[in-house]
Amino acid sequence: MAANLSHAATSGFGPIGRRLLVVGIILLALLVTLAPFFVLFGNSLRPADEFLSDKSGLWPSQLTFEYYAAVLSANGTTFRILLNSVIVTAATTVIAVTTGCLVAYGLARLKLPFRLSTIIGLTFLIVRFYPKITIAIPYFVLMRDFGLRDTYAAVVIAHVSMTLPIVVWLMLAFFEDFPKQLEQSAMMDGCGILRRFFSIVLPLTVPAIATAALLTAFFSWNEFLFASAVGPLNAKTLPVEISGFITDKGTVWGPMSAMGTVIVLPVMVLALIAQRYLVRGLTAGAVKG
Amino acid sequence: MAGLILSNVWKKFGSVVAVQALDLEIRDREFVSFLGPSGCGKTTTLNMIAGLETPSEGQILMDGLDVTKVPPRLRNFAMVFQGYALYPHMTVADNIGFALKVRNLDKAEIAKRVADAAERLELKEVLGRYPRQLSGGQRQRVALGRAFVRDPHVFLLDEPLSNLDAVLRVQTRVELKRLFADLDTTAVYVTHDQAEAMTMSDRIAVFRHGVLQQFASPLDIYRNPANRFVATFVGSPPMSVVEATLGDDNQLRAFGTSIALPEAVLGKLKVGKSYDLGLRAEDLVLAPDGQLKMRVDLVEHLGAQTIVHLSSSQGRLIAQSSPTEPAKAGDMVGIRLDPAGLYLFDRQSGAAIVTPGLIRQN
Ligand SMILES: Nc1ncnc2c1ncn2[C@@H]1O[C@H](COP(=O)(O)OP(=O)(O)OP(=O)(O)O)[C@@H](O)[C@H]1O
Ligand SMILES: [Mg+2]
Repeated sequence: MAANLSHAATSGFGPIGRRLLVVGIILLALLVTLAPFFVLFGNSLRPADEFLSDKSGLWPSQLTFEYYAAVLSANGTTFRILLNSVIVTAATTVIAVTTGCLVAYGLARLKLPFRLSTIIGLTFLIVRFYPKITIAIPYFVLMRDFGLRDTYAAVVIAHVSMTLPIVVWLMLAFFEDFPKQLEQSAMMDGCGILRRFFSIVLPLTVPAIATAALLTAFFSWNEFLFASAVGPLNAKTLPVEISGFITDKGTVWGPMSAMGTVIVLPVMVLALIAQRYLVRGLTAGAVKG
Repeated sequence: MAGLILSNVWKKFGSVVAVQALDLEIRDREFVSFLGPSGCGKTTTLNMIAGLETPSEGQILMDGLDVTKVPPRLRNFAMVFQGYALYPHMTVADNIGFALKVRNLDKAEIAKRVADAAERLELKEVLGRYPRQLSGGQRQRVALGRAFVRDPHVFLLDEPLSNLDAVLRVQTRVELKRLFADLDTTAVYVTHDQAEAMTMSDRIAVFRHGVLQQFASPLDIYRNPANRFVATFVGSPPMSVVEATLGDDNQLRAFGTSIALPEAVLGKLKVGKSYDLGLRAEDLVLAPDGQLKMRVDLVEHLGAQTIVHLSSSQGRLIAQSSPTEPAKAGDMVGIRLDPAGLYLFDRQSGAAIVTPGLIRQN
C-alpha cells in the first residue's frame, strides 16, 4: 500500500507538477463559471458610448452608476417586480416544501399495495427529465381556462409543479435513511403517524428541509419560461422583466446588466450564508451520522 | 400488568422465515428472557409482541384479548431498544417525559414522575443535558427511565445492556434485577448473554433459527436441557461433547475408558448405539487418580475458577481445576468424572435422552 502510494505520488509530473496541474484545472473551472458574472457586473457599470465602441475591454475604462439609479427608481416598477418575485418565490417554497415533505414521508412510511410507493416515486423522478418547454403552452391554456392568467397563483402553481419532484426525491432519500428505532420508540411512546412526524422526524430533518427550501427558492427566483408564459404583466417576475430589455430597437445593455446584478446578488448572498447547510443536506442522504 | 399468549405465530420476511410456529405463554408478572444466538428471531418476536411487526400468521393475546393487529400506541407496552433510541433533540427530562406528554398528562404530574424516575436511576444531575452529552451508562439509564415512568402493562427490553462494558454490565444487571423485583410487572427481556438470562429470569425461552427450543426455568435449562443446542449454548465454559457408545456391559465407552451409568437411565439407551456425550466443566475434576488421562493444552485463570483445556488422541475436553493446585500446559493429568453429571443426546436429532436433571429424579 505505502509503496504504491509513494510511487503514484512521484510518478509523472512529480509532486509539484501535480499540484500545479490541479490548481490549474480548478482555476480554469472557476474562470468558466465566473466569467459571465464578471462581464455582467462590468456591463452594469459601463458608460453607454462604450457599448458601441469595438475597442472597449472586458472591464469598462470608466464607471457609471446611472443604470442602477435608473433601474432602482423607475417609478417604483422595479420594486413592484421585485416584490412579485419575492411573493412568488416565498409562496412556491412554502407550498412545495410542506407538501413535498409530507408526500415523501408518506411514500417512505406507508405500506401501499402493488408497489405503489415505487411507482409514485418513479413518476416524480421521471417528470424531472422532460424539456420544460413542451408543457409551457398546455400550462398557458390551462391557466387561461381556469381564469388564473397573469395571477400569482398561475406562476406559483407552475413553479410548485416543477419543484415538488425535487423536494420529494431529496426528502425521500432522507426519510428512508432516518433511524428506524427512533420512530419505533415514538410509536411505543404512544405516537400516531402525524405526531411521530412532527415531534420526532421533522426536528431532526431540519438541515435537509433547509436544503430543499433553498433549492426550491433558487429555482423559483430564477425561472423564466413559465413565468413569462402565464404571468406576463401583473405577476411579472424579475427574469421576465430582464427579457424586456431586449427590444425591437436593440438590446438595452446597461440597464439589463444592472437588473441582472440585482437578481443575482440575493441568490449569491443566500448561498454563501447557507453553504454549510447545503453541503450537509445534499450529502445527508448518502452518509449517516 | 398482563399475561401474554403467542399462539402459532409465524413471521416471514419474503423468503426468510424469522419466526416459526411459535407457541408461548408468558404469565402475569413473570420475567421472561429470550435467549439465543444472533439472528435467531428474538428481536422479531419482541417486535411482534410490541406491535411494531405484524405476524404473518398466528395470534397474540393479552389477558385473553386478541391484540395481534392493535397498533403499539394502544397497547401500553414500554420498550427499551437495543441502541437506546433516545431522541437526540430532547433533553434527558424531555426524553423521559415524552410518553407522558403524548398522553396529555398535566405538566406538574409529568415533572413529578420524571423526577421520581431520575431519582431511582441516579439521573438527577443530567436531566437538563442532551443524549450526546451523556456516557454510555447514563444513556442506558435514560432509556430505562423512559420505560419506568410509564406504568405499562408489559416491559419489553431488547438487549438493554449489550452496549455497556463488562463491569458496568454486571453492575446494571444487578440494579435491573432489583428494579424489576420492586415493579412486579410482566417483562420480556431479549439477550444473547446467557448469564443475564440465567440470573434475571423466572423462565428462559431459548431460540435457534426462528424455532423455540425450550421454555423453562434457568435451572431446568441448565440441568435438563431439551437438546444438544440448548445444552451447549447455556453454560460457561461451554459443555464438551464427544462421541460415546453403549457397550454390552451397559457401560459407556468414551475416551478409551468405560463409564458406569446409573441403573435408571439404561432403559432409554440401546446397546451398541452411538450417542453424543455432553460433559460440563464442573463435573470434570482434575485428580491424580482420575480414570481419564489427558494432556493439558491451555490453562485459563479466572481467579475463583481455573479452566483447563485438555486433549488426547480421542478428543478434547474442557475441565475445571481449583486455583490452589494449578496445572501447567503440557502436563499429563488424571480426570475424574461424575456420572450423575453427564448428558446424552441423540446423534442425529440432538434431542436429550439423559440429563443430570433426569438422573436426579430417578
Ligand atoms: N426487516 C427485515 N427484513 C428481512 N429480514 C429480516 C428483517 N428483520 C429481521 N430479519 C431476519 O430475520 C431473522 C431474525 O432477526 P432478528 O432481528 O429477530 O434476530 P435477533 O435474534 O434479534 O438477532 P440479534 O441478536 O443479532 O439482534 C434474521 O435472519 C434477520 O436477517
Ligand atoms: Mg436483536
